[in-house]
Amino acid sequence: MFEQFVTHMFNGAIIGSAYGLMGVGLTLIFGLMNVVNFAHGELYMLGAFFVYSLVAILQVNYFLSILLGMGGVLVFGGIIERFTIKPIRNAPILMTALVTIGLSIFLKNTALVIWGGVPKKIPNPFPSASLKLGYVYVTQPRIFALLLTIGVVILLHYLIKKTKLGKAMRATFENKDAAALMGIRVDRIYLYTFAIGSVVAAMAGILLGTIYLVYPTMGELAVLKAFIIVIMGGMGNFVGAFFSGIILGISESLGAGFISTGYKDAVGFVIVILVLLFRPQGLFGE
Amino acid sequence: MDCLKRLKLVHWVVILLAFAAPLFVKSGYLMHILIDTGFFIILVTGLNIVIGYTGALSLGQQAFLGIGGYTSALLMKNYHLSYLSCLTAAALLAGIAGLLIGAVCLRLRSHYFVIVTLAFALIMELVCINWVDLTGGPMGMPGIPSPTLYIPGLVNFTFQTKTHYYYLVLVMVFIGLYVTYRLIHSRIGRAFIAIRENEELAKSMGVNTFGYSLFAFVISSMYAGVAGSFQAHYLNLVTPDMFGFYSMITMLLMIAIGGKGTISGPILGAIIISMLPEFLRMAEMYRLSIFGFLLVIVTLYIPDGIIYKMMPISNALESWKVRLWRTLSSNS
Amino acid sequence: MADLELKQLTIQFGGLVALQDLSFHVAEEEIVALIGPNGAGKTTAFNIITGFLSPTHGQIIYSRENIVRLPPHQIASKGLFRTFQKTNIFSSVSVFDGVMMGRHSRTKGGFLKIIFNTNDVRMEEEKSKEKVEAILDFVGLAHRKDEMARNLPSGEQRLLEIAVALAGEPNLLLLDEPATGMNPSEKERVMALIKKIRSNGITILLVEHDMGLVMGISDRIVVLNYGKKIAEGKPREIQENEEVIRAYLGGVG
Repeated sequence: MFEQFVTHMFNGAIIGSAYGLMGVGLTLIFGLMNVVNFAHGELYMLGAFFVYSLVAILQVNYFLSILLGMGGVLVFGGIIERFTIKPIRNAPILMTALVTIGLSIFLKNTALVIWGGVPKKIPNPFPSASLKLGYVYVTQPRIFALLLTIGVVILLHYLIKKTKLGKAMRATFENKDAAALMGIRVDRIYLYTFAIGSVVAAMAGILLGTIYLVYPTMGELAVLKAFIIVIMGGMGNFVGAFFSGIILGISESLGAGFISTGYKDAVGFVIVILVLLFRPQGLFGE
Repeated sequence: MDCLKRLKLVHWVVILLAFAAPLFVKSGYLMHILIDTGFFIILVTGLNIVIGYTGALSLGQQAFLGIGGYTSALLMKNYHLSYLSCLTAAALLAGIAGLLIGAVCLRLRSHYFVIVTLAFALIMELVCINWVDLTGGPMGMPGIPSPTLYIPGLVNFTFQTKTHYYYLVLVMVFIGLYVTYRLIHSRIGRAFIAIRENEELAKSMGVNTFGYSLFAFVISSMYAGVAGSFQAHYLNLVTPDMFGFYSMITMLLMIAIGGKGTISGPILGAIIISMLPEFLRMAEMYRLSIFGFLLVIVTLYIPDGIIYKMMPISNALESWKVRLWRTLSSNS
Repeated sequence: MADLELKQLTIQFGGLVALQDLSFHVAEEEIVALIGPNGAGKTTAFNIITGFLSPTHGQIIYSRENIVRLPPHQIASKGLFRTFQKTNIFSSVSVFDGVMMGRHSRTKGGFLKIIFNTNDVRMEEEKSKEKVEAILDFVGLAHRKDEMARNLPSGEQRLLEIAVALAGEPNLLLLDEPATGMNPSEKERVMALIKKIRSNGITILLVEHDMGLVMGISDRIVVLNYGKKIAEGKPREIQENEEVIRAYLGGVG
């Protein structure tokens, strides 16, 4: 029983860290830029599919494919920002939501047409044998995913707090007019932020695609959970988002394991409603 | 009735065509599309009250659609209540759900409101799929009886053919549009618009913004309940798809393309989007891609909807009619 | 017909005391001006009176009723209306429709009556339309009634704001910098308008920076500095008050 509990916890934490990564990417876009980007899940999905295509079809090295896949989504995200987000930057939220929902549907279905609906596995160089860590069995891809996730979170945290770009980003999101007057190229900042957020999403997709499967609608639930995590984490708090992801992953895992698998996804929805009602600044926000 | 005077030529043409449609539409498939359009008109007219008039983006309308459909279906199937009772119950239950969900969601700022309405709808979808004893699970519940009109001694009529259903939905559409028309052109409608345009100013003018937003939400959910009830007994089937994402996207697209913030806009949107699959039958595979693409393009380039492009045409026809009337009456 | 009394109104934001024990009285049909350097707390006072902010303590007695902490819409329905420092209008509707919106608290029709378009609803609509026409004449915007509010020049938008507030048939009107963004002739117009409003029995409390306007129309003036009242009296007295002069020239702690 205890072993079960720990296994659930651990697996939940792993999934949670991927959620966390999604949340971290969306924190940039929704938490800081305040763009309600419903297409975030499709960037996650595209990252996975790009890598799948590179590795499985073009036989490119796995790690190289990850880099190329991320690069591809970086460009893609930039194009999306320039052509669909920028024009409505100052429009009411309704517009942004409609546009990103439209994008989401378009990308999902087009991916379905291109790659088909059958879930695919990304071939990877990790040995399939599991390692035993204390009570739990864990496979190497999962460890890789966890380490990469932690690495990205640390990197982003450092980027925002210590680098010049990070400072410019924070200034822009606090007061874009003041930032523009100070000489910051606000348009560029928005572009970079969106692109970086998209790449982080793509990475989450690649990691989850490696551990599990890749299919066109994989972004649907993921994006909703990402929104939940950003809100839980306190809208703009990377570390908060990461830990919220872990909490969500574990809660779902425990819920599925001990209550019922059918309602697993409802856990996150219930949590976000409770958080918004009783602690709207998020679990980790100020 | 003063509202009849306000109708323009275009409106009369559409109304006449609507009533006469079964006379020249013989294909069952085409009739189905018309009925479906009617169903959607009720659904999006309701949703537009929230999105177009109070300016709140609710992504949860499908929850009330499903609640209405399942309530009506369950009541008739298990308790053999009359159709009117089931319909009323569906509207009431959907309205109560709207009250509860709205009371929670409307306290939140717009960004969060959007997400939480969606969250509630998804929870309802999960409940529907998982509570198999009540709802029949993912396969839904077939065998929902058709509506009957029963007045002892006078009428005992079961709706069976497509034409029957068409006129039923047409009556519902007209009632729904009439209620919306009255609502919008009243102090309540002005309160809605005030909330959309400038909430702070609305409050300082005496508008209880939370109360009126909630009211709009409840009315909208009741429209969805009615639509759900209709669909349950028309298709003789309810499925969890009613609660699904695709439902919601279709509604959003109709409102966005047709034009939010007017009564005719969503009607136009419903007609266009319902007819669209017909034209896209060749490209069934690409249908959703086209939907998505359209939504992006329309939002970016025709943000007020196609209805505004139609207004010059409508006005031109109107002045032509007025001139014609004048010439005819001066000649007699 | 209404009077307003502020009693020991205090509000604190974290460590900052924005208003300290503010007390003054505005008598029926008086025009009182609230002045003071930027940041003195004038708009904060307005926000508390109209229910947009809750004070830390203190009372606001409006026509013998303590309205502190009531929500804005309830305060408005008691006849207390305001305009805002930054022009606040319904930009995408016509001038006429915008002022019609202001009629909300003075109309009653409920949902069922509206659906069945009963007689009293119809009469209420007619009466509201007449009132709106009258108000547009009163403020001098009748010629603009079908234009979209956002297309009006800024001076006329300020007038529109006042018209919307008047539509609610206020007993007490709070005007927050009504002359901002106006040229001298527009300011003359606004001054005359404010006097006309008062002669219709409406009590007026205004915040304003333009001293010419303040001295020209106020019965009494209340001066704030750093959240405290430093002077109160007739315009002449205030003009000659040393502390007031020092506050405006700066350097007073």
